[in-house]
Amino acid sequence: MSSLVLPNAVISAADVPSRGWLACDYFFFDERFVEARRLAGELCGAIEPTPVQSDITAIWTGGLARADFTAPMTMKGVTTESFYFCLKILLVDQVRVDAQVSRIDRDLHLWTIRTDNHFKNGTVSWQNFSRLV
Amino acid sequence: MAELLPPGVNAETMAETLERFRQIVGKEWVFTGEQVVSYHDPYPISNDDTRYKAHAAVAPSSTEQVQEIVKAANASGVPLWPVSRGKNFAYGGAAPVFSGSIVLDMSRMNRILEVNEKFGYALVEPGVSYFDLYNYLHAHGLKLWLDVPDPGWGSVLGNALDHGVGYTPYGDHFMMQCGMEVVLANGEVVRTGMGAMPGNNTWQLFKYGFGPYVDGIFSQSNFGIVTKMGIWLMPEPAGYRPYMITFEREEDIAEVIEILRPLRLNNVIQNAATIRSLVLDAAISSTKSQYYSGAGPIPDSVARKIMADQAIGMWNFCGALYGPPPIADALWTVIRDAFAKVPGARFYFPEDRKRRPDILIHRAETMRGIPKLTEFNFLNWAGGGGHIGFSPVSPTTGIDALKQYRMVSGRVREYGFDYMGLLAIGFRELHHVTVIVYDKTSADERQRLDKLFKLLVQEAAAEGYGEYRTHIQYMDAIAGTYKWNDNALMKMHQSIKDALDPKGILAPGKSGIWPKHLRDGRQP
Repeated sequence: MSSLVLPNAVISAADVPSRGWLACDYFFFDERFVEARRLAGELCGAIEPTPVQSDITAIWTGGLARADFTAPMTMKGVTTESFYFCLKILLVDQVRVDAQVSRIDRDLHLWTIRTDNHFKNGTVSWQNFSRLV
Repeated sequence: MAELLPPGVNAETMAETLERFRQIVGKEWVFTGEQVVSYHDPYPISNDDTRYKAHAAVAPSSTEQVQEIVKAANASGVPLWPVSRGKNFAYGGAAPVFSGSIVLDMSRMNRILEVNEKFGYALVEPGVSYFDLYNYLHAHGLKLWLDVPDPGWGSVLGNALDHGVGYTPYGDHFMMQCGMEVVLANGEVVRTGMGAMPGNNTWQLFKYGFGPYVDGIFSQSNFGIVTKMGIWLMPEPAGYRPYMITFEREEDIAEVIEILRPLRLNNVIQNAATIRSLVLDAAISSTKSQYYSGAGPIPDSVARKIMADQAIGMWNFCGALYGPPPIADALWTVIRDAFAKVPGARFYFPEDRKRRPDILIHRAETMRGIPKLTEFNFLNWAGGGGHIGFSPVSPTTGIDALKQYRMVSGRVREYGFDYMGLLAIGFRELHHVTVIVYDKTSADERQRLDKLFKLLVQEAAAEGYGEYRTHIQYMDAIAGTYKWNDNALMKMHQSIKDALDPKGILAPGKSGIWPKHLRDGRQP
């Protein structure tokens, strides 16, 4: 697990772990920040990145909460911390989660959350979250 | 870090207790080792890594399992820290006051047992979240509204027990609870109010039953574990119209509160409305770095720029009108005319707000009971993501509001933080909730916050202002300020604790209430 803090670092695709980085099911970026837009363009791979502005509510209640978690899923993002934190906590109510996050400047975090298909009954949960950052 | 054991419990006893728990709930619902990390406070303040850490967690699925767990804990002396969903993150999350405790995680007990549209109530278990209950009402087309706090993932039951507040006319959650089921420390189950009568059909309709009203002693307490609770729900009104009034100057808060008090007491202002400060509202849609790159709190020039950019004031009053349009129109006329006396006051309805995200558009949803997580946006204001609430209560007077504001904002800024406060308007009192956002990764900042918080508690108490709720780290400090007549109230709490939980296994230290064997060196 990494919780590396890189204040004011310049991150590019070449700097992030290569294994699996270009494959994900969702890529979220905070459209208010130039750096997030740039990194989204570099790191989202083949999928269309999803613009957000910190608030997870609409993304979650608008569909992600009803996603099929029976198969493992990978989500990535360049967002504020609260978006990452809220998504992580919501997911662990559904599935087991492995999360990695790096702070890249005052506002933004670069993160990956992987889910697997354990404990997907939606009844419990976040205690399955074994790698809280 | 080695797993912590509570004082007086050895490793063998702990292991035997956990094994008994596995027999009760199944081995997959007892959590140890790395799994316990998820029960840590995500926004810790203490730099002592041994404080507020659970040893393990157990997740029952029924009242019967809770009974068996309590009996086993009583036999071994292992302390439990019950949580409903453990998402009260500004106050410690699922973390215990007393390190080495086993978290009793009731998030699996998430049944909505009854929703009654005719009488407007629900009976729920601890694991039911606001999202769960809202989705249930929506899916069944029921004409009932929830009252929600800011985080929609919280427990309906847990929030009421912790004296949480929301934003509709049903905003005082504990006022709206009716009837409990409680597991006592000896494993016995009690139903309160009318629920004590076999065959009674008014458990969720009439609070008091016969004899002493005891529900209150199970709120913010460690006297029992609430496993069911009734909550009153608001009938969907015939109309709904949210509004926002902004005020330009810091000192306007005094006049605003004087205008507001009679309107609230007379129910012209119908809901648990709030007046929020500039930065708190700005942080819903922006971060500090978008306006200011300097150190410390933002200067006045930056505050003015934010006000202009976002069409918000130094103070922003969000309220709503509920009921048939002719009634709402009449109420609005009174409210508008009253606040128009404040120079610079501006009036908005949602259709007037063009920017997105926007504070009124956001609050328009919470004031109609739609659960959200939007409020977490403010954690991003300065980066670093930690937050804590300082929440003294004062009378609804302009003098008190301005005094409170100046006391708290002055100290908060002196310690290098921006003032992010709100005044939640009760019928006769203000909850002045100041959110202090800090960098949770900075040991220095956490230490500075700790000093600030202790100072705020002392200074508020010296002026007669007491906090209504607090983070686990400050429960002793806050309890210590309620010390009238040689700590008579705490002594009474301790007497109840000793009678109901003589071995002290339920949530030691909750609200400053410690069992007898752990009181040495603690007040009173």
